[in-house]
Amino acid sequence: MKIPLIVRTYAEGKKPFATVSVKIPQSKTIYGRISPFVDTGSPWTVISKTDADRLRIVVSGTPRTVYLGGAPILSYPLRNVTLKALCEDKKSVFNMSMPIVGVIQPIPNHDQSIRSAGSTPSIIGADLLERYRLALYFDICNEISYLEKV
Amino acid sequence: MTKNELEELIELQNDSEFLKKSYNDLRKRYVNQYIAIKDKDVIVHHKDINIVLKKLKEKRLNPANILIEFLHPKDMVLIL
Repeated sequence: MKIPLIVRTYAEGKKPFATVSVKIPQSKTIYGRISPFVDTGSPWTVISKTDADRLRIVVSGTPRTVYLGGAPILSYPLRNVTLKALCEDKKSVFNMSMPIVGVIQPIPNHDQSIRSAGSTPSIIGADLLERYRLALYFDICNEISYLEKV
Repeated sequence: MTKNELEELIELQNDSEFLKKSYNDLRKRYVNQYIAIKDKDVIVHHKDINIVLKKLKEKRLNPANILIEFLHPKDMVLIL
């Protein structure tokens, strides 16, 4: 089973992006689609500020301060998020469920944080890869990338 | 997953492929702006994400199903 990723440029770097639908239980369940990039350097899976605005996610709870690209940002916990990734055959999906996903928000009145939060895409982190035993293949030279169950 | 949901995921993947192929041209035209892509076309663009979302709603489109991306300037490097 392979999940194809699209290798495309994001802020001067080529990154592998997935195609994923999300279901988020809030007061009214949110359904939507996101295009997160797979980042083995991120310990957590996070939803970007742009995607949070687009999906109208309401954040609550105590945020954790994390650093993205050297800038401090806030990551709010979002519980029991369901993700479905399009598989190679384009006829099936790979179902995933994460107990906690972060939602990125800037620190108010902090210029560097506002810039960083606004320019960071959603991320599939190492937590999801480990939970579902997915290996990343990333051939940047030929722009071929996919996730594969191991 | 229903056939509709599958088709919507395939549409998003096609729009992501379009963004990949057209990235340099799109960046020349819409640098420092958010662009919304549907059916391999830029349907809304603006530097303010809230205005992009408002314009999509005016077009009776659900932003949750549309690829929106910020186009960084060429000298902007993001090391994550």
